[in-house]
Amino acid sequence: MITQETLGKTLISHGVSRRGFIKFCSTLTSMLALHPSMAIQVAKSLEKIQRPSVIWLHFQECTGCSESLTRSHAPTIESLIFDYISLDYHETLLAAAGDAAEKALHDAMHAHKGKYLLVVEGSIPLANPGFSTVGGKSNLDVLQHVAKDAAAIIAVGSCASFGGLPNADPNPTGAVSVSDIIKDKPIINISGCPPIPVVITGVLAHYLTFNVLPELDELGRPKTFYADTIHDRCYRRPFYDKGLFAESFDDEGAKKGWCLYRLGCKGPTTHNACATVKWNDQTSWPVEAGHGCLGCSEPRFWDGGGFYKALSIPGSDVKKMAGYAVAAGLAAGAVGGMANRSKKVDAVKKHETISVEDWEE
Amino acid sequence: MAPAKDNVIPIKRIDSHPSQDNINIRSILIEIQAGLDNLSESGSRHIIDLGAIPLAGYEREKLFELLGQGEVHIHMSLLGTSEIYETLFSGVWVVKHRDELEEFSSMFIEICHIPDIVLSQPDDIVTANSKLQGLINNI
Repeated sequence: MITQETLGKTLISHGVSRRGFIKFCSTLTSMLALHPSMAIQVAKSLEKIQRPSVIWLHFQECTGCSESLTRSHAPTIESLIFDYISLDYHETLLAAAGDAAEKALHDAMHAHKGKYLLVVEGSIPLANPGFSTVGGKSNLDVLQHVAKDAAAIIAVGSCASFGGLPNADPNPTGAVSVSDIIKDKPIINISGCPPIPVVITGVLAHYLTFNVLPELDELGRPKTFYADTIHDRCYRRPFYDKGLFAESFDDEGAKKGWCLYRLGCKGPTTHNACATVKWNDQTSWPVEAGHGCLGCSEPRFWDGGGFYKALSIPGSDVKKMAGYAVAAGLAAGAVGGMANRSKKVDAVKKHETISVEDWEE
Repeated sequence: MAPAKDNVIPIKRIDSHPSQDNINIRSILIEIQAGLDNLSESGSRHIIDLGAIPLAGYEREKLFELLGQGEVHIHMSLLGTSEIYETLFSGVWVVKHRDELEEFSSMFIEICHIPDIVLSQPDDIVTANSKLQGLINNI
């Protein structure tokens, strides 16, 4: 049963004052990476919206993406967003089971034909439909059936976005992403293993606020969260520019918080928002905790050459490079990152690991 | 090895971070200064979303420490709590929103005469007037 009440009326009925609503919108505006001055416009827009129906399907995955979302600090902006969408079907969270669960899916699809959002978690096995089934139906059949009348599809996590771990070499199940199968619907990829919960809810909030999907990059990810690399936004970036690197996880450089590039950090080739949004109530994120980025939001990151293998070793002229880059208004990391990405792609194609020695040759 | 007290995993804190020459903090201070220029010359306000800037936790703490706390301090209770105070620099306000679990949901530095959220909102004033009429009628 879907309420036609607007979000504004719903909030008022919950006793939320106009000032409280502006606070909510200030946080939402921050989450969407909009300019803070837009909070009032966001408030005006949100007041008028109605709850969209969301159907959430699970395929080949670990449910880590749902865990990321549901174990985020609640009640917060995330839970508020989920209060104001109609999550009509979610196999993990659904109280119903068996026929009742199937009926919930059928009812939601029928009541909101052409209007519901489909969220997919997990990759789809093509080598044998029996590798992953729900209620005796293959993941492929379920996806094609539910996607048919969806307004748009949100692929949550690296498995749904790019195939993820199941797709890693030798890919025994023939795992593919949602976009490998569905070609006639708008698809938004929220990659990450898992994705940052705020990014998942941020995309839903964007849809709620503007009634359109956000602008996407070439891999179908929302630019709001994936336009910059981890390296571009890393607070350790000044050390990279100065040529100061940790050489092991317990040396003086590591203790001083120097750049983790040489310890395998994939920040320069990884697009995600961890450096600004952070994790666990903005407490920290992997690089701040002293570990390099694994690159989990990029395609085939499992086959990228090893988590502790440096993608490249910045040349001894890194200071000079940084100087030139600043002078030219460019980011040295972006230049290095492009070179590294090329090497990484080559390695993926050949399924070879990249060693420090390879780069020093 | 003796078990951790009350099954709590001990956390060893390392507080000594290098200064990085305070590059990130300095950049924000310069932006604040530019905002103050605009505020005094044209009255236009400027907001810096600290959630959108890649600062380490210790850098954020250092920034708040440098800005200090001035004469006005406001506490609000709505959808959690909010702490709003003017810094030692007139016209520079810190706005920290927390949720119901007292966890930070957003943080801003506002360069303005007073942050918008402090002002009574027209819709709330209308509602208040109606409530007050009810009070008058029933007293």
